[in-house]
Amino acid sequence: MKGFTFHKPRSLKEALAMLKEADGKAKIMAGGTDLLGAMKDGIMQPERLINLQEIPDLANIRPDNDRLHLGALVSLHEITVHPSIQKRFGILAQAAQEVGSPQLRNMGTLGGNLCQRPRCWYYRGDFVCLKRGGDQCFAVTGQNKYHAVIEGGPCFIVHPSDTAPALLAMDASVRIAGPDGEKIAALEKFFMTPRDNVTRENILEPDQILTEIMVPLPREGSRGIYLKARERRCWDFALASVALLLNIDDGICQEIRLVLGGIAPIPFRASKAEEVLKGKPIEIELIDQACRMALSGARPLASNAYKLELTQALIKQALLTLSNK
Amino acid sequence: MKHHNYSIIGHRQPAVDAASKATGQAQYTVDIQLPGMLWGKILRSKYPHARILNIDTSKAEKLAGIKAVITHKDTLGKKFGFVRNTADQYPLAVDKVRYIGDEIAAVAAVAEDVAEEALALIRVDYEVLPAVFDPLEAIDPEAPLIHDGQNNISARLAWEFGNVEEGFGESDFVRQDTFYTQPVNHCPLEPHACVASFEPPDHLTVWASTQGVFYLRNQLSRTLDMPISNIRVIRPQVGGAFGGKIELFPFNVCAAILSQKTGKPVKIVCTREEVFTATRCRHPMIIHLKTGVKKDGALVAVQARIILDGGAYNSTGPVATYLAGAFLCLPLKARNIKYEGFRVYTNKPVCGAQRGHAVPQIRFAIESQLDIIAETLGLDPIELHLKNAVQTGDVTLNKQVITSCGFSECLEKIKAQRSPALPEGKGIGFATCAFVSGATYHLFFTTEAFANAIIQANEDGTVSLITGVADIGQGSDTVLAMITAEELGIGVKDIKLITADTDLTPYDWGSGSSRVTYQAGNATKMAAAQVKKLLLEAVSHELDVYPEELVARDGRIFVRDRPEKGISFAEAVSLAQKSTGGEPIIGQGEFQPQEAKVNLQSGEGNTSPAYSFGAQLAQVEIDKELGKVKVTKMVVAHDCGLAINPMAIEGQIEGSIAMGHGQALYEELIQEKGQTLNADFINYRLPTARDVPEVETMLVESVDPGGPYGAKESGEGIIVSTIPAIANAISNATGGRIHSLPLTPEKLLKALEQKTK
Amino acid sequence: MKEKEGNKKGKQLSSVSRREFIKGLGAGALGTAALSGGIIALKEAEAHPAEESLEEGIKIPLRLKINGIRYKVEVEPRYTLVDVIRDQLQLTGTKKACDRGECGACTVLLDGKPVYSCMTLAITAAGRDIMTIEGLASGEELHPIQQAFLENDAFQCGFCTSGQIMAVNGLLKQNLNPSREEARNALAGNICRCGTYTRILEATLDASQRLRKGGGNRG
Repeated sequence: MKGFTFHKPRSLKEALAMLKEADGKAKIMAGGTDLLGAMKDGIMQPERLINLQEIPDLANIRPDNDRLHLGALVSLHEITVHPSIQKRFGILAQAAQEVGSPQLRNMGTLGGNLCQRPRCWYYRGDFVCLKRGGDQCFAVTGQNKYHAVIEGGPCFIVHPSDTAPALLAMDASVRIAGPDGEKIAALEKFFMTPRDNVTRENILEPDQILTEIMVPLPREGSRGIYLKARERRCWDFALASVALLLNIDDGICQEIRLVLGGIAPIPFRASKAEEVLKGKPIEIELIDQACRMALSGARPLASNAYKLELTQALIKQALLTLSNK
Repeated sequence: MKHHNYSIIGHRQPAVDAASKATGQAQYTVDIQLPGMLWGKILRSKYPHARILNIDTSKAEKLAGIKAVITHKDTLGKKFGFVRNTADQYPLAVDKVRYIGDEIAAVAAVAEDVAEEALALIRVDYEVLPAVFDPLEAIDPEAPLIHDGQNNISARLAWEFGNVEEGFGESDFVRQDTFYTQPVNHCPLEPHACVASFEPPDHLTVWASTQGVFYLRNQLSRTLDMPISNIRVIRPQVGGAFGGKIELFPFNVCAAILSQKTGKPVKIVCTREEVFTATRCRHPMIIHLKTGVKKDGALVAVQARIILDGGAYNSTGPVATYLAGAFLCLPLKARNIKYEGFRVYTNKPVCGAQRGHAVPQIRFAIESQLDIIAETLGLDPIELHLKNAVQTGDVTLNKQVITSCGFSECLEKIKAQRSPALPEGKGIGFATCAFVSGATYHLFFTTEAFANAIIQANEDGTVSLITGVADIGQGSDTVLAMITAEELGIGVKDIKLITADTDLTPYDWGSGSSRVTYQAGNATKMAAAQVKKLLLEAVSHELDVYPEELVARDGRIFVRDRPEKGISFAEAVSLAQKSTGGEPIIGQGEFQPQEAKVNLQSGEGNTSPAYSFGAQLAQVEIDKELGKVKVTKMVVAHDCGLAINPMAIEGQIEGSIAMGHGQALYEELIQEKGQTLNADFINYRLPTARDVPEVETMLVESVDPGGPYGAKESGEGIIVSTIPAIANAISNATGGRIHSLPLTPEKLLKALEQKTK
Repeated sequence: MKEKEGNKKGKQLSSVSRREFIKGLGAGALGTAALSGGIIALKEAEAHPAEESLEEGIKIPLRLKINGIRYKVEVEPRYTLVDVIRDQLQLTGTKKACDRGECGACTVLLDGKPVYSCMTLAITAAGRDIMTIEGLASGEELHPIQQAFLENDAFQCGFCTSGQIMAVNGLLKQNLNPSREEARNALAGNICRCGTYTRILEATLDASQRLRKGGGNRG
């Protein structure tokens, strides 16, 4: 790992000042589990590292009347064991439980999980791909069984996060601090497709810090589930994953938010599938139709079409489970 | 099974080095730090095939902290190879590089990161050459030549016993398939590593994470042109090997030369990426297989044409090509066999030995095909195997001599465990294996016996067991200590082990081809018997009985019929020493297999002094929609001869299953144009505690007449049947058949789709 | 080491006294000059830097509390915990096998929780309780977890064992009576290529029983 200057701010204000001063040459570190790997691989070589671990407020979990406030540095493990998260925000707890390994959940943070870089083996390997300033995506004609089936192009990474689909299904928003103060953005607007900007995966500017994730309390009667398809039962990133929040009243689907992971460069909201079911009784025929619609417009590459089947199977399983079919 | 009256043998014995491993005190090569030690690093080729025009090391040499930079000019330019007469690899590239990872230069520096920095300062001018990655393309006469002056076929073996064409004519059913296996890495958790220390004027000491100290010494001696007696190779604890640390590697030679140049010890530890890409992997194979059977399942003819993708160098290629053919049928008998194996050079990482050495691949093919045949003919696959099972006393068509065989008993035991009807989504798969208990042939020329042991009795009642055996974690030191203790009637704790040091211990071939228990076990037993003889003689004089009346057991030597009449083992040692005027009480033993005359060209010859056998059932649960396979249980019946340490044997079986499970379901090196894309533990998936199945082991102890106490192999064979058992279980559960490894969700979903079409 | 412009600046700035610097931070007047020099604020108890800058390529003294003992080490910011405890302190029981947090051989406890020391910067471990395999046995007597590993033959090559035992220790500190499934999940972040998982699981349950009988996890 190349050397760097290490900063250890004790407040967000200090951190922001350091970041601004560094003028794009610094990276912020939360748990470090993704960043240090990327630095060891030489993908990133920041001149400075700004460690957020010592900033006390960033690791708070604070419920208020209508939402849950999660500091960006709350550890993934903390999320899996926190009683009120387990109780009221089950999708998030389930998703956090699916991340990495026990050690990585002790080390890794929620903010870090949302901001982690893609795992594409060309990007992580010795290839000057689009994301690294090159002029091609090697996955298009190369080994692409883990790449995007929808929303891909010109780069075909998949967003690796487990918690992002879960948070998106719960309509979370994020607080972003920058040199000019704070702003709040819907998580839905946080992620960027390669078409928007191929060099990054979200809207964070180099001088901004994701500080908090806010999750509205799901309305009474809503249920959620996170399902992940993987080869091994530990460490693996999702081949495909499904986060579903569903509210059924009187047999009618009142509210549905269906978000897919592991198949697109961003956590992918399957709006077309939602439309099939919203306001209607949950019937098996409609479920099948929703599964088909979820990925309409998908354009699989040579070796990843199986992800379509996987995703549909996961959606079906999620819908059947939550509607008690 | 308790059919004997041993006090040590056959009992569950914790490993002799267990406490040091449980406390973190066990010292591995990567843990060695010597005063003044430098760090070495290797510059590797970025191109799969290129001519080296120039290497400029001047900038690297000037970097502060750099003590030496070497290229091929600093080597003797001698080729090395696993099999001496097929040596084709240089310690540092002389003219060409042949794969991404090929060694070009090496540096020694005061710190690891300084060495790394220096690598970036070495300028290499290449002329990039056309490369070939597909073995089928490499065979083409028009293909780029990887080794100048010869075609890309690195080994070709072919033989026929009987006449398969006639055999197929006589068959009621003939089935033909092509199977594909993938490249996989051993992934020992301890990366490949060595520390070399050159002491002027001419002595070299090497600590290495190796499977065989004498093999390494021999190869270093040839490559460095030093007499073997000037090289001392020591094996610290080895953090896993699985066949991947059986050879000499260029970094071993580089460390030695760097140490000589700098006058300091030099340590080289491979990065995980280097272990994946620049050591060895299992040979991927394309297996064209044709089998003819009678209606009742009797095997009439088996024909295999195999292409082994060897990568850039020979490594163990000729041996692998031989073994794939030699184990085409065993543990079954066929009346006609034809084999043709081509090992082909490609511009990819080098393939060599790995647990099961070429047999798991062929067995995946044949057991899959037999499963298809049984299903087609409506036969029970276990009955089909029983019908063709090899038996004690058989000599196979290729002249393998079966001295002991519990194979049919394994099959019966497995049959009894098979549950009848299974619910939807569940399946069971069955497969079998046979494997060697060491080889009968030497790979380099020496007059030394295959295995040797020296035992010296100490007057405190302990004994020192001195042997060249390199335990790599499989527990062979424990087995040898148990044999010594049993023979001498003392405790395992009384055995002091001095092992795997070429200056201190007698010759041993190393931990490979599952040979240690059988071969070094015999040598050890013989040495212990000699010590015992000396002691019994001395005691017989003292007690005025015949030596034949005496028994050594529980730390005493006593009269068989009057146990109270006896003395302690320690007293016996003193007595014996007194009687000879203080001569050391030493026993010496060796093992040399009967002349085997294995002929690689004709395929004839007895591969091993004894063969292990096994059968297993895999139980799986399948989520057909997700293509997800969960192996819920493995039931194994294994004929390992007499089980010297049942606890360790069960561990070896579980280990084979865990590894086979990974290689069946997830593991594969993904390569593109010679570049490995997943040289890491995220995208190269090793099974975790949450993945592996529960294992139920049944030991079938066919006491082998030649094995120590009747013992045979147990470390490798079971991986051979694990992979096809899982494949057959998936097919049983889903009706879909996958002809290529690994059996991923992607392939399973495709197979199921095709089935419904 | 290559001389970089930033380094020169840093050297000039090292004349700024610690007191002044910390005062500056406290007042919220974050001097940009100080920042560009890369000075960081560390609590006195954790670090005793002769020079105050914690710059690229410059080593600073650091105190690490490992197994209850306070060690002095010298680190650059980029040094990982595994390298420091192995190479500087010769606590080689902790192993490095992948260097990417993908295998678990380097598992240590940080404030009682299992973490990968190859993905932990040594500098961030200052002031925290670090426990390695060497801290488990008391004298000659094996810890009950170690004894359970020994008796259950829960290793072959032994290279992953230190990490496995620390993961078990972390689990049993949280949950002295884990179910088989809980244990399996807690141990999933440690690869054993020899495939001794079932035995490790047995050893874990065995150890939990020993510890319950013996009254808690003293590790």
